[in-house]
Amino acid sequence: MDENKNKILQMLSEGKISVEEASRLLYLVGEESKTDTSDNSIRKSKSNAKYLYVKVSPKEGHQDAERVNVRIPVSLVRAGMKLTALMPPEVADNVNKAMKDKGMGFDIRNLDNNFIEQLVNALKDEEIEIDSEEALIKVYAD
Amino acid sequence: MSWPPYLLKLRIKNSSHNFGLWLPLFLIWPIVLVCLLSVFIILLPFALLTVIFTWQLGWCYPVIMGIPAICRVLWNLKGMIVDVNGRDEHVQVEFH
Repeated sequence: MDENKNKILQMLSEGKISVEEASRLLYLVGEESKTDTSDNSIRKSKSNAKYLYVKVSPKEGHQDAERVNVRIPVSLVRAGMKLTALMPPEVADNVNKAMKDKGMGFDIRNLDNNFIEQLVNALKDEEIEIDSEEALIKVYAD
Repeated sequence: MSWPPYLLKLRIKNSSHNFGLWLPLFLIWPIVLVCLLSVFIILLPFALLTVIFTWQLGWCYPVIMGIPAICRVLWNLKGMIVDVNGRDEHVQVEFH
């Protein structure tokens, strides 16, 4: 990227481009490098999260409720996602119908690794917290 | 390179029982592999017949590809922890 900036400055010094044009080009080169950096950070975060956590903690006054701690390896989730492709058509149709009834209108056969990577990345940045009357449920990746 | 889980830690505790088990999976995997291989050889003709008869129903692909997919899931169990703590019960399953 520095090479591009040098070229722009050289063109400016040679009088091939005006100051305004050089400024605009330098701005564009800067934006491009920002995009590269954010792409790299996404790639980095993809490989970082190893586990998915689900924690259920009972609230005060509900001490009889169960305390649950589940740690699921992300690789297991990925392997599990591949099982969806093996679903017989009728089973997948039934699952899709059941999910649609619950308000989730997507085809389970279309779930792929990109989906799970996006989900894990999202859970790494922000945890899901469900605050019910009896318990506090947290889902996050680390 | 990833390895399958080599140890299963199981703990079940309630008011009347307290049961803990460390299962050395690294000793069991070779035995399971040999058993699976022999079962596979014995059941191969039946599996082929099943595939032929379920071809029309669309169950053929899951029958063929299901075994490696399940093996992949078992392989990736390492690091899985399930810990459920009730008032009088405690169940803990860990794959190491």
